[in-house]
Amino acid sequence: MFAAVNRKNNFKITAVFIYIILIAGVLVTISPFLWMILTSFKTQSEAMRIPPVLLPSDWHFENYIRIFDKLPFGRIYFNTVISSVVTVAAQLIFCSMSAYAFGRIEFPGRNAIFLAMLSVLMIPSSFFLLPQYLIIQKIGLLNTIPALFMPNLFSAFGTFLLRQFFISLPDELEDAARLDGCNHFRIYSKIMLPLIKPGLTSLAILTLRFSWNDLMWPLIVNTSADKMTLSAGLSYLQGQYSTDYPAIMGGACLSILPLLILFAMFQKQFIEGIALTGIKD
Amino acid sequence: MAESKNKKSDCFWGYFMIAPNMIGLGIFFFYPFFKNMYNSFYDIGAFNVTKWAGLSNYKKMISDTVMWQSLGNTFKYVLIIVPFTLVLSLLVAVLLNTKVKGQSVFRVLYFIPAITMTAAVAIVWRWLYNGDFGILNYILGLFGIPSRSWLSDPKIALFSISAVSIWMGVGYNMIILLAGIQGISGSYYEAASIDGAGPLKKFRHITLPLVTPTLFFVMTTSLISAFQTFDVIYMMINSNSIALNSTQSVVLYFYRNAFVFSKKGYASAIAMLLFVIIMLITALQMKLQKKWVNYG
Amino acid sequence: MKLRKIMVLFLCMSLLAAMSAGCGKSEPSNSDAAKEMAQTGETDTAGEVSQTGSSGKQVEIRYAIWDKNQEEYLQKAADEFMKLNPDIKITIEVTSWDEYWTKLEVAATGGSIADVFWMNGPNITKYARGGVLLPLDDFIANSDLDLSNYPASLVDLYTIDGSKYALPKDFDTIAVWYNKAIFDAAGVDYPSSDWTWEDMVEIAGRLTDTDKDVYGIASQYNSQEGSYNTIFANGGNVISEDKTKSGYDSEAAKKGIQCWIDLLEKGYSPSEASLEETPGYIQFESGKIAMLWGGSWRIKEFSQTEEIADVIDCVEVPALNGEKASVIHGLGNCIYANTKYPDEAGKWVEFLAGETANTIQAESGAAIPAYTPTVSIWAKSYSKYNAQAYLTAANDYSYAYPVSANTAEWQQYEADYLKVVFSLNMTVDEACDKLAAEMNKVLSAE
Repeated sequence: MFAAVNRKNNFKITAVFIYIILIAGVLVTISPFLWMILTSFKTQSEAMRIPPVLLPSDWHFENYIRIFDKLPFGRIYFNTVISSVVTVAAQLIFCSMSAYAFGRIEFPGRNAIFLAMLSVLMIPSSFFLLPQYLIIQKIGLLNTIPALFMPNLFSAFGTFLLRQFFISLPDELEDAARLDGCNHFRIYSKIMLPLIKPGLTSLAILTLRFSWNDLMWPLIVNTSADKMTLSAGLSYLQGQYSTDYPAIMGGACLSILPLLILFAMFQKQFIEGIALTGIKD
Repeated sequence: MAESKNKKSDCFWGYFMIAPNMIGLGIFFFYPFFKNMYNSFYDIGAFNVTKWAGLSNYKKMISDTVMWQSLGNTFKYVLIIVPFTLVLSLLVAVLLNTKVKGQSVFRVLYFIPAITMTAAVAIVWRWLYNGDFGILNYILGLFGIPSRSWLSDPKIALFSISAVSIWMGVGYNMIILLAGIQGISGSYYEAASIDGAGPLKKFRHITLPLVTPTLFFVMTTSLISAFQTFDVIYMMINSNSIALNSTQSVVLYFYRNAFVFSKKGYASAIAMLLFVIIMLITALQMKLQKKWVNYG
Repeated sequence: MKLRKIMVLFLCMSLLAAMSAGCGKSEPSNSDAAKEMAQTGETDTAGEVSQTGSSGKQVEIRYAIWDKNQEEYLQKAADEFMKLNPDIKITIEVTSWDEYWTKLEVAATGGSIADVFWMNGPNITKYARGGVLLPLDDFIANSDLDLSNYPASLVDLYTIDGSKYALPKDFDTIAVWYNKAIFDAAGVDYPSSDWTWEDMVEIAGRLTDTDKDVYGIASQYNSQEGSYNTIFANGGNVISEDKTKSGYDSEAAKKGIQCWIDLLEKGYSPSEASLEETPGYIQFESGKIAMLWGGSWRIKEFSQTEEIADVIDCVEVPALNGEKASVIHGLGNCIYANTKYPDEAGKWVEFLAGETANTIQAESGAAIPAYTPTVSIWAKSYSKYNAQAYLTAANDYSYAYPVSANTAEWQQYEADYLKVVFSLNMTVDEACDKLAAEMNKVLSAE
């Protein structure tokens, strides 16, 4: 009896302890964002006041208008969205096709080619940067929107990831379809593709995150302001208006917003998609 | 007869379906790989004026102290970022896996940095870290801790940057680990409970061994990304900062050589070195994994 | 359910796209957007179309600059120019200083560089010898430009191997800014043009109040706004006249740096680390610093910073050992060697060098115009300050900004070593000797 009470108390204490740790972690995770949002509505001198003021005295929404004055932000949004959407769509198509072939068709040289492809995964991406730049330059695409996404349309990682999903599908599906006279492309597109939707979601999310974030490539490949992406735009904003903290924080807010909204809408898919990448190893 | 026809068609479809991706990879990855190797033997100066250089780029690398320092920095980043990220994300994942209320809310909140643009995160943290107007110094000041120049003091800037990387990585890796933990069959725990094992014991003998495959995956990806740290440093450290040499990673040094100092041949040689190092570490890791990863 | 979500996603995307398309449209103020799109599309892809530039088609000249403070006046000048030349459209591209040179070089290599762009002393030789710049000699000879109207040191700066590669746009010198409010609070008299370095040190000491987080002066590693001036005043040099030897290992140069270090050691200035995170001029703007050595390009921003605009003024630099010195430097406009429209670009550069554009520049106060007949207009636009201090510096005690063929390369060493000195981690003596050795290596390779 006594022991049981003690144990119950113990549980309670542990539970409280767990909550404290988790909530502290959440605070550390979230408070920089809150500070960012608050700063973005302050005046410049308010932002640089010591001791700091928590809330802006007035909510200066005009800071955001100022950002749009300083940068063609609408245009930059557009570039980023276009480049991300194209990248995601292309990777889904190209990677799933090749993943199907690598996973479910036997053809000569398959394993060798697959291994060669995997080697790309091991190589740091900066390794490809210079020659990729020279290629884009040669085909005359510097400073254009296609330059932003061109090299990212193809992916070794995506192929590898989706192949895992294709492999795990049962052979019977394929055999039945083959008896009905379906060719591989039909099996792929009509039967198998719908079954690996979770894998496609995973890849879509990872790719979206990647292309949304990418900094070095857009920085190098596009030089004019109206061909920038959000990351490059932020870097520009910081370089050009190093002291206008409210505007810089506002820019950061604006660049975070779209993915945050998408995340809010597709929370479950995001989290499951990311989680899956670890399990399908 | 039908068999061979099938084989022929397999062959066709196989090549046909891998063609788009492989051609793209060929142009944008395989060719650049060899081209880069080739470039490392040339002197490529401003405006791509190219001259044969033999091994001189590699020789130069040996005596380039900045290069070795940036390599050292990179290892420091890896050694700080990877373990902290793993431990913290595992901790959060394990705590979330207990029967806490609002698990999904926690998950979402922790995940937010993972969907935030790195450039934006770096900008925000730079502002928090600011030695004169940053809130971090102010908060520490309330506890009597003296102000610091978090990003321009060469002794601590690297740690400040690592902290941001860890902060960004925990939520993302936690999600993967949590999924791994939740995939462990409940029967193990039930059996352990019957044997009277406490939570710590359960963690030590069930959760930890069974989550090793996921842990391995998380470790590999964090390792590769820590080796390529660039964005955070680029956004947080000015090119004229005194802390630059003590914070710049190999990738940043590569970038500066290629696109700031216009020494593209030398930059290619640096990339080669990074490539060899990552290959070695991946191989080492693959070998070591047999010792600790449990594929039961 | 899923379908609905996907629909929502697409709706959001298209909304975003529509929004940004809307923004794009509102930007070009006078011409209609569709026409504009067609224009840029053409200039991007087909070179041949534009060869017939004069036959009624509008030609786009891209103009790359790095200072956002000057965009406004340049846009005004461009509007003026476009009125005169309706067949040419000027597009100004601003890049931040940090990325300007990286991008410029990448763009030059890739052939996507702007038609006309800003150039400075440290980079001119590299670009001129790299074949990126159009030699302007014939062009100048055939124009109405008279080079005697520009400061000789700037014309020289942009003459490489006997050819002129850029036309001076503006020039800048150094003066000292001070915050009268801090002086008043401490009961210290304002400095006057006959003050000395010792006066400055003494004042800095009296104004420093670390309890209030106020410092007398900012002593940060900064060649152009700092040590170059004191090195010259001390009779030293950064690089020998024939550009073969570094001047850093001379006593005069070392003293010119030591005097700044003394200020740091006395605690009259925030540390190098603090000044790096929040540069001196920003700390000055937020009232944390009483005196600041500043280039003439600072004046515009200071005059627009509400918090300090009415309590500051500037004064000539103090004399060091009886001598004053100010570095003089200036930007130039140059033309890309392979521009598709050399004639149109030439017209724009000529316009920028002429009286109209320089008058607009002077009135805007963005920079001291290089076309000297308009210099007094610039000073008038800052009547509340002693802007004359900058002009006196140019006339009486200016020294050319030191450059050689590989300026950027030895400047890297300069920054690397001197920053360590300013963060008080190496003696001036040791750093200067090492720096001189490295610099000599670079110079002998030229």
